[in-house]
Amino acid sequence: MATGGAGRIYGHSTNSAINTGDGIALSYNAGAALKDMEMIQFHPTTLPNGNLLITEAARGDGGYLLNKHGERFMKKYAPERMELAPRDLVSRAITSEISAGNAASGPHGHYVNLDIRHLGAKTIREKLPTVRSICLTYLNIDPIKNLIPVTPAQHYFMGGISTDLNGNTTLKGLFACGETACVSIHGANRMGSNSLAECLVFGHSTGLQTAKYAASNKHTDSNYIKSKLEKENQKISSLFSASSPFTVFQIRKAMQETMDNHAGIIKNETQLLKGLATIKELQEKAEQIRIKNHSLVFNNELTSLLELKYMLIIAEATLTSAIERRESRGSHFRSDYPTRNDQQPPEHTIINEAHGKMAIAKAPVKINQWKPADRKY
Amino acid sequence: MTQFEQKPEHYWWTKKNSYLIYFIREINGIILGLLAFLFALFALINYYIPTPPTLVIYTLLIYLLQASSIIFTITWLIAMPQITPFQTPAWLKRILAITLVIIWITLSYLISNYAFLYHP
Amino acid sequence: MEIKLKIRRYNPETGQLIWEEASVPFHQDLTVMEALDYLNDHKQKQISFRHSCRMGICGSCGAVVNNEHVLMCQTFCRDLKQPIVIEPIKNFPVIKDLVVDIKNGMEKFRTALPYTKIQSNHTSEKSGYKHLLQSPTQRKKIEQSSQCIKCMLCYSACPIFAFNQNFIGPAAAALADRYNKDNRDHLKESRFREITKDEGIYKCSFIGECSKVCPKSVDPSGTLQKLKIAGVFKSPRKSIPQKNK
Repeated sequence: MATGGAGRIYGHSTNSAINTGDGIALSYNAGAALKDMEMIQFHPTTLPNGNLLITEAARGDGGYLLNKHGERFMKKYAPERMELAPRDLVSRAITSEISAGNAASGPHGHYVNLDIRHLGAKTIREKLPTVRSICLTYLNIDPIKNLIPVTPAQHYFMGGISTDLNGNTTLKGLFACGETACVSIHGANRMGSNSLAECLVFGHSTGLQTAKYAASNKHTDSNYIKSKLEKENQKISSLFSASSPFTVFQIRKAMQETMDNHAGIIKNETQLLKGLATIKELQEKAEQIRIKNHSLVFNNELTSLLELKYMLIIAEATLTSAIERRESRGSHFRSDYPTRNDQQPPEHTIINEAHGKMAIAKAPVKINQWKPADRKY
Repeated sequence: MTQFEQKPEHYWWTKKNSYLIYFIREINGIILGLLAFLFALFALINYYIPTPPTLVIYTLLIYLLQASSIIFTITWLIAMPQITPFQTPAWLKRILAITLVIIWITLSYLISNYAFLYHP
Repeated sequence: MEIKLKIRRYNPETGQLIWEEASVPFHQDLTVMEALDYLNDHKQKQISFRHSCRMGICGSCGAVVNNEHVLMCQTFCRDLKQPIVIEPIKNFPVIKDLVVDIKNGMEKFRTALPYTKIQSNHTSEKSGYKHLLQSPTQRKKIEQSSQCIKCMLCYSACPIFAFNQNFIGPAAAALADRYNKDNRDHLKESRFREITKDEGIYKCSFIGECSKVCPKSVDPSGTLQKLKIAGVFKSPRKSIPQKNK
């Protein structure tokens, strides 16, 4: 499994239209364990329309974040590191500024400003050409002379299918790597560019492991596979019908709004429980959706329905894990438990499928070299 | 499930301006060669058997050949700035093309006027 | 305010080719991709088309919009004349609606030998990994040709590829150039031998449309002409060339 993350469960996400977490949901259905589904990274600088990503390098090369009064508000939240504080801290800072009324408002919501004008035209053209071209194309502004409006949005899933260092999941013969998997090399907070390194390293090692496993095992009985395929075909055929009480778009929009409002950057127990109840309702509604078009060639309505069902599973897993973790750790921040629980050793949240419901377990985190320290920036 | 094969139409070169310019450039090359051959043929005929009709055709060919070579030069001079060793934006390519055409016209004028001073 | 769209649709099961007309509510930032998404979400038109990143970096959403080859996620409806005519990209067989099968184009990348082998006698303790290093100046040489996102718009715009599906094509030639100019590469000889075969770079007629439509300004047209010159010096033929089937 290497199907990427599931950012499309959120309405505001930098992810592509195809990031619907199919691999994670399929593996869960098949019996593999999921790990740390509540660890979701929010990127602080995305454009307000469409949430296109403005790379962290803009801040890394010396950009400033300004609120509507023109002040560098990161002074209040991270006086030493300022804009270079970790992503979750900056996202929370921007969210606080928005709630405090210090953010400007536009047709696509509230935003703060990213100022890279002082870097000079030469640096921007050489080191940040993508930022400039995105701003010119989608906002019609030139970052050499104007401020860039930014707002936080969902970006990365640290959690996923639980694997070990070789890519083995808890289901024998199933391997996973990349954003789909959770070896847990990122823990609760991923550092910038590490997902690319993860793909290179674990793509290589897991690929080799999978090939070795496949070469050393006998073929499965093909009749068994055929019967399973027949069942899947029947499941899909049962989705074709002339009328449907809901459309895929309605349920998907409701799910995205629920996740945005109830499982956003700052979570609390009441909102999470309400969100979970809504998601469960939406799952029942999604079961009733039927497709009019019977085509089996590039039927995008059928694929959107299947993807919607997978996304609802992942939304449920995220909310369930988030409720269970009653502390704030890394990118998982709860306003009702704002501090990290240092009394007990840190634990992973494991989710398994049990009799059609999600069963939660805990597993100890293996700490080798870097022990959790105080987060002072 | 059959796929729909998209075959190019016979009039594909009318679809866009750049296709049209390319087509004119290529067809003109063929026409130029043909006209040059006919020009040589009629020059030979007129040297040995000058008659009014062949003289008329000969004169006509001179004009056609001139037009064809002008079109040939201009269309290829337009194509030249596209392969500079450095990156050029579209407007600069246009300016380079026009500059080359102007240089060519100036050089042609100077050569045609002053080269004949040395004609015995 | 509403804007009008005209989309060419193909149904693979009935073999029908039709023009579908629809209208979409307009706002300043509406892109063609968003308009098609709107038709699928709110009007159940079920138009099949590929799209992914929404910001012009994945190369999935290529189409011919008002007779121009563009990426739909970067084309704004406010700049287009109505009715906006949307067709799939040319020179590839259509699977359904706006989805085409680009396998034929992607296969051409193999001819460009898009890889390089690490020579084993270099990995000694003394030399370390010096042969794998690349300075910023060296990176600048391959900067432009490495921007290619394999969107296949250049293949769609190339009339040579339209009539001859064996032509190596602009993107594959630009990829070959990217590897030739890479300081860590040493497969130049074999690569030139591959691309100067019969259906290779010498079939290019310098039409220049590929560079015009490229969304990333890779300039395959200029690159091809320079490759043609370099190819003359780099690969001497000792026998009659074999036809590349």
